[in-house]
Amino acid sequence: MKTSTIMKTLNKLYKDLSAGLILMLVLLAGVITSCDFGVTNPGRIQEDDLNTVKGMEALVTGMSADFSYIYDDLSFTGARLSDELAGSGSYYLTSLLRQGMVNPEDVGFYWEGVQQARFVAEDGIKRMKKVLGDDFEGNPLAVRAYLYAGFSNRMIAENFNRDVIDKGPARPASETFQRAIGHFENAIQQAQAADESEFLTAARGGLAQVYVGLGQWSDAVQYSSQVPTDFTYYAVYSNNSGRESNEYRYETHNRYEASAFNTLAASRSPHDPRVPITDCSATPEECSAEVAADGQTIMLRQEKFPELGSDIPIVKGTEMRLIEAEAALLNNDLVTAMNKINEVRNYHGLQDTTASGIGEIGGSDRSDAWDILDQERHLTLWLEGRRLHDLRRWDHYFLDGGTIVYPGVTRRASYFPISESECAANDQVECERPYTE
Amino acid sequence: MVFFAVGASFGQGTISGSVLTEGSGEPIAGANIIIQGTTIGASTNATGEYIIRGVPAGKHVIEARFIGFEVVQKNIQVVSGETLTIDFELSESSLEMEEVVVTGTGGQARRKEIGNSIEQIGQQEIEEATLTDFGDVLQGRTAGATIMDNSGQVGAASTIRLRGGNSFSQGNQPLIYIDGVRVSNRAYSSDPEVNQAAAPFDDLNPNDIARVEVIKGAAATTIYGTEASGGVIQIFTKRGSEGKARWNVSVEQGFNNLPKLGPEGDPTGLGLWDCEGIDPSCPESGTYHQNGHLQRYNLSVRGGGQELSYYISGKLSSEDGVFGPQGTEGYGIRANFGFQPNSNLTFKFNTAYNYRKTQWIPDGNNAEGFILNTLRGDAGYPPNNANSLVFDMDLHTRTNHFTSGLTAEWVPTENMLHQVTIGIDYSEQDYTEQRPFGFFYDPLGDRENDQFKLVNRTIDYTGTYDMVLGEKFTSSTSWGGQLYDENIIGLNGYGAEFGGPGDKLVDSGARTEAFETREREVSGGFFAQERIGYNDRLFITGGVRVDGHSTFGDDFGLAVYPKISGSFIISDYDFWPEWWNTLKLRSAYGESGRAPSTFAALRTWESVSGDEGEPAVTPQNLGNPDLGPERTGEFEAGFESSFLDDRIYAEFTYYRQLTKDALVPVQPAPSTGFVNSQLENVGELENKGIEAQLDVNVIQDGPVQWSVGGQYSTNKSEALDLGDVDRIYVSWRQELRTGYPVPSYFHDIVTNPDAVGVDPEFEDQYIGPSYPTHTYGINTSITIKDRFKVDILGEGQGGHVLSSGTAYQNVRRGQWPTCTAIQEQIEAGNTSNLTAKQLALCDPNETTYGMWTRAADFFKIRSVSVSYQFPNSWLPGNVRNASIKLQGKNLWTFTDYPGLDPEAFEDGARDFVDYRQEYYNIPPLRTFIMRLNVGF
Repeated sequence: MKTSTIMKTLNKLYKDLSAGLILMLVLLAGVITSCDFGVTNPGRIQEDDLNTVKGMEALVTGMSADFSYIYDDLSFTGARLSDELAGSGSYYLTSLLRQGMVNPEDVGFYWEGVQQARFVAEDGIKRMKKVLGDDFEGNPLAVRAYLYAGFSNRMIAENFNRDVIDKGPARPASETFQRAIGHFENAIQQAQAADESEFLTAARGGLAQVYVGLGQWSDAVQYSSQVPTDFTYYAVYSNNSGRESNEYRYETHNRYEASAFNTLAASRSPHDPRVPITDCSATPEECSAEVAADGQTIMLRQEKFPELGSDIPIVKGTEMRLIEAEAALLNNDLVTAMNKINEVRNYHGLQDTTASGIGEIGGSDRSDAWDILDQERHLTLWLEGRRLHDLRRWDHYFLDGGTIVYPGVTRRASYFPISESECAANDQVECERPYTE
Repeated sequence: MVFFAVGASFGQGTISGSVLTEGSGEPIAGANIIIQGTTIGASTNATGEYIIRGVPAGKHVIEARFIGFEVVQKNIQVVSGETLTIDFELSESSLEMEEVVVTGTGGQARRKEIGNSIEQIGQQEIEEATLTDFGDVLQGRTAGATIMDNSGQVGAASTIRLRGGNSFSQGNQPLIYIDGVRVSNRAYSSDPEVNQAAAPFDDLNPNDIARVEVIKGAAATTIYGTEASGGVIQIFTKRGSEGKARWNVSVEQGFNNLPKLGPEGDPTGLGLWDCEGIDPSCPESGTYHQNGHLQRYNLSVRGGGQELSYYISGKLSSEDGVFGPQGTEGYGIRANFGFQPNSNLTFKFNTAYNYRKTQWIPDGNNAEGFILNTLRGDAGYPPNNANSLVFDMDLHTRTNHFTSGLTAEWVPTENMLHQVTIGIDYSEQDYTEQRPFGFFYDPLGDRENDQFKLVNRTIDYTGTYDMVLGEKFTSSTSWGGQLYDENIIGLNGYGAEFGGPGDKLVDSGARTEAFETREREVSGGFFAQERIGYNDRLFITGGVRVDGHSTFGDDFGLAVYPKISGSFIISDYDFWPEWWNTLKLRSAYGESGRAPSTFAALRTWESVSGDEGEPAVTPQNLGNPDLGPERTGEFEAGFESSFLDDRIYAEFTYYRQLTKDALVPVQPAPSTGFVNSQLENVGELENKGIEAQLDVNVIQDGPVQWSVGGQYSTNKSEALDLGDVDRIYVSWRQELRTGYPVPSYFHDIVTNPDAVGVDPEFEDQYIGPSYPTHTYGINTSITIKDRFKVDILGEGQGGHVLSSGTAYQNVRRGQWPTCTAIQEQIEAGNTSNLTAKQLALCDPNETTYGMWTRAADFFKIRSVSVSYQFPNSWLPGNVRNASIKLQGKNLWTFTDYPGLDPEAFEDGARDFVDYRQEYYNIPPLRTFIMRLNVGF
C-alpha cells in the first residue's frame, strides 16, 4: 500500500471518527459505568447475618424444624419397609420396600435429611456458644439445642446401619449412639440449670433409648425409670406450612399410598386405641376410595396422624415401661416384665394380658412374653419411626421373608444404607450394593 | 462490508431512484445502494427511495442489496452535473452470498463475509408452515435445531435446542431477540398439576414475522457473551412502507385432534376413546376425545409517507383442546413505526401487546392427572373410576406480554453507523389452581394463586466503521456494549380448607401460606471486532467480548471471550467453472458462556417456620466466591455452494463444542450438613456433529415449479469430566455420567432375556441418550402457474430413548394390553414357557422403568399445505390478492416407540432442566386449518 494511500486513509479515518467519536464514547462510557453487577437479591439469609443474639431463637427452632421435616418421612418409609404398613401406591420406592429392598441410590433424601438435622443442631450449638458467650450456660435454648442434637443422632443410629461425620469414614451405629449420649447428658445438665423439667425428662428418655441401642440395659432402666408413663415429647408438626406438615396425613389420607392391610395393627383395630384405622371398604362414605392407589390393596387408613399438624412422639413414658419390661425379660424376670407391659396396656384402657412363658420372638408359641413384648412395642410405637430398629436388634423373623403383601423375599433390609450421594462425594466411604442388611 | 446512507456530498454526478420488492412492488426501506469499487453509497428511506451525490463521472457498477433479498447489479454511466435515475426490484433469496445478515456479526454483514453458519427463515417459509407455536417456525427447516413438541395441551410451549446441549446444569435454551430486544427465553411458571407451561416467546404472532435469523453455537455467538452458548434466535417483524394503506386480513378455521392414544391392541385407548360402561362420568358421546375447534383472525395494515411508515396488526384467536375444558384464547396487537427525520438518522419503534387465557387440565404425574386416571382404569384415584371429576379442578393462566423497543440508527458519515436499541420485555402470568369444596381428592378444597412476572431490559449499542484500504483490502471495525437486566418476581398464595362451596379466594381457606421470589440478574459487557476483506473474496474476522455478570462470585472478575473466523469465496476466481455458481469455504472459532444461577455464589440460609409457625432457619446454599461462567469454545468449518444456475444449493458444517469450567451441580457430602448441590466450575463436556442441507429446484422455469429439499444434522454429546464424581443423578433415571451422552438413561435391564422358565435377572445398564442424536427434515414444494401450491414437510428425530412411565405404571397395574396374555399366565402360575424378557416386561412385580425405556425414533409429517391464489380477474376492484390454504400439522407419525408418543414430555414446563420422560401426559396434537387470506 502506498504511503499516500495510507495518509489519505488516516485522514479520512480522523474525519469520520470526529463525527461519531463523541457519541461512541458517551455510549460506551454509559454502558460500562452503568453495569452495576453488585446485585443484592432479597429473601435469603447470608451466613454472617445469623450471628446475632436475636437470631438464636430462630436457629433453635430451625433445629426442631429440620428434625421434624425428616422424621415423618423417614418414619413413613420405615413403616413401609417394616411390618407396620403395606406400600400400596405408585411410588418407585414403594415397589422396592414391598420386597424389603432399599438401596443407596434410593435413600438420598433420608440420609441428607438426617445429616442436615444433626448438622443444624451440632453446628448451631457451636454458633450459640460463640454468639451467646456466658449466656449460653443454663439457657433454655441451649437445652433444646442439645436435645435435638441427641435425638438426631438417635434417629441416625436407629435407622441407618452406619454413620459418617463430616465427610469422614463410615462408623458403626454404636458410635452414633455414644455421640447422642454426650448431647443428652449436656441437655440434662443445662435443663437442670435452667429448671426446664419437660426437657429434662425428654433428655432422660432419650438416654434410655440410646442405651437400649447400645444394649446397656441397666443404664437404660436407670433413665427410663425417671420418665413417667404419661409423659410424651413430640416432634412438632403443623398445618401452618407444607414443610411443617406431617407426611403421614398426605400419603395416607390424600394419596392412599400406604395401607395397614394385613398388618398386626389391622388385626387389633378397632379394639386397640393405639392403632386407630379406618377400613375404607367397610365405610366407603368416609374415604375417597375403597382401595389404595395401586387399585388392589384394601385401604385401611391410619388415623393415628389424621391431620397435617399431628405431632409424632419421640419420647414416651409408655416406651420406657416397655424398655423396663424388656430388661426384665433379659433377666428372665417374667413377672416384672408382664407388670410393665400391662401397665402400658392399662394406660391405654386395655385389659391385662398373660404370657405362656418367657419364650422367644418368633417361636412356635406366639403367646409367650417375648412375642407379647414384640407386639406391644409394635402397637405402642406404631408409625413412630422405631420399628426397624426393633426388627434389627431382635433379628426378627419378619426379616426372613415377611409375608406382608409381597411374599417370597429371603432377607429384608432392616436398616437404611448410607446414600449414594455420600459415597459419591466422600472418598472414605463405599456404598454397599446390593444392600440387604 | 456494508455502506450506509449519508447526506448530500459534492461530486460530478447524482444517482437517485427506488428499491422495490419484485412482484408486490412494495418499497424496501433500508436497502443499501453501493457504487462498486468506491466508498460511495446510500440506503433507502422509508419510501424505498435513495439519492447518491458526488459520484465520479464515468462507468460504474451500482448494486442494491437488502437483508433476505438477492443482490441486483447494474452497469451505469454517470454524466457530470446530471442526475441519473436507477430503480431496482429485489427478489427474496436464501442462497445469495451478498445478502445481508445482522445476527452475531457486530453490525450488518454480507453472508459471504461470515465465517460461521447462519440460518435464515424467510416470510414465505413461515407463511407455508402450519403453525401452532413459535417452535413450528424452526421445526424441520433449520439444520441443527431440535424442536420437540412436548404436549398436546394447546398453549403449551415446545422445547427448543440448537446443536444439542452444551451445559450440564444451566439449561440449553437459545437467547431470543425480537427486533433487537432480548425477550425472555424462559417458560412461564407452572405447577405440578399442569406440568406444562406457555412461553412468552410463543406470544409472538407468526403473521408479524418478516424473517428469522438463527446462529447456533459459540463460534457465532461470541459477541453476545455470557449466556449465549446455546445459540441465538433473532426475529425481525414486518415494517411499514411508503404508499397508501395496504390491508391484509386472514381468517383461519380448523380443529385439533389425536389419531389415537394408548398401546397396541387396544382400540378403546384404555378408556379415553371408549369410556362407556367403564366410567360412570363418561361423556354422552361415549368418548372423552373431542375435536377441538380452532379459529384465528388476523388484520394488518402497512403504509406510510416519506418520513413515517407504519405496520399495525391485530390478532384474535381461540383454540380448544381435545379433552375436557382444555383450551386457549387471546388477542394481540403490534405497532411498528419507522421515522426518518433526515437521511442520516432513522428511528424504529416497535411495540406489541398480547393477552392469553389458557384453561389447562391436570396432566402428567399427579394424582388428579386426567390421562393418568383414565388409563389406569379402576386403579386410578377418582372414586368409582369417575374420571371426569378431575375436570372440576380449575387450572387456568392469564398472561399479559408487552414488548417494546426503540432503535436509533445514525450514519454520521458514509462509512460509519451507530445503532442504539433500548427495549423492555414485560410478561406476567396470573395462575389459578382451585379444587372446589367437595372435590374428591381434597373434600374441603383449596386454592393456589401464583403471580409471576418477567421483566427484561435491554440496552444495546453497536458502532461500525468501514474503510477501503487501497485497491484490494477493506476493513470493517465494530464495537459496542450491551446491558441486560432480568427480573423475576413471583408471589404465590395458597389457601386450603374452605367453609363451604362457591367462588373462592386464597384467603377463603382456613389455612393459608404465601411465598415470594424476587431475583434480579444484571449482565453487561462490550466487544470489539475487526473484519479484513481481501479482493472481496477472503474475509478474516477477529474479535473479543468482555463480560461481567451479577451472579459471578465476588472473586471471579470479568469473563473474556475471543473469536476468529474466515470465509473464502473461491468461486469468484476466473478459473472457476461456470456451472458451479458459488462455493464459499468458511471456518470459525469462538467462545461464549453461561452464567451461574442467581444465588449460586453465595452461602445462604433459608427462612422457614417450625414449632407451629415460629420463625426458623435452615441451611440452603454452600456458596463459592470463585464461581464464574462456564465457557464453551466452538470450532466449526463448512461450505455453502450452488450449482447449475442455482438450481442446487448445498451447505455443510462440522462443529465441535468444548465446554470447559462447566457448571456442575456438585452435591457436598451430606455428612457435612449442607445437602443442596453447589455449582462448581469443574466439568467438561464435548458436543459435536454435522449439519447438511440440500435444496434442488427440479423444475424452476415454466408453469410448473418443483423443488425438493432436505436437511440432516447429528449431535453427539459426551460428559468428559464431572469433577470429583463420575455420575450425577438428574431426574427420572437420567444421569450425567463421564463418558456418556448428556444426559443419558440408566436403569435395570434384563440380562438373561432369552432364558425360559426362570426369573429375570437385572443389571443397571446404559440405555441411551435422552435427546435425539440426529434430526432430519424433508420438504417438497410444487407450484403450478404461480397459483396452486402444495408444500409438504416431514421431520424425523432419532438416536435417543424415552422412558414410558405410562407403560411401566400400567403394567404394574395389569392395565397394559400388550402384557395382558402374559399377566394371565403369571396369575395362573403358568410361567414355565415364558422368557425372562417377557417376565421383565410384563410381570407387575418384576418390570422396571428400564425395560420400558425404549428407542424413541420417529418420523412425522409435520406440515402439509395446499394453497390457491385467486386470479385477479375473480376479485372485486379493491381487492389486491386473495388466497385459500388448507394446512395440516403432525398428520402422520411413524415410530416403534411403545408409549404414548415419542415427543411427549411430562415436565414440559421445566425450562431449565435437561431430561425427558413420558408419563401420562397428552401427546402433541394433530391440527387441521383452513386459511382464507385477502389483501386490499
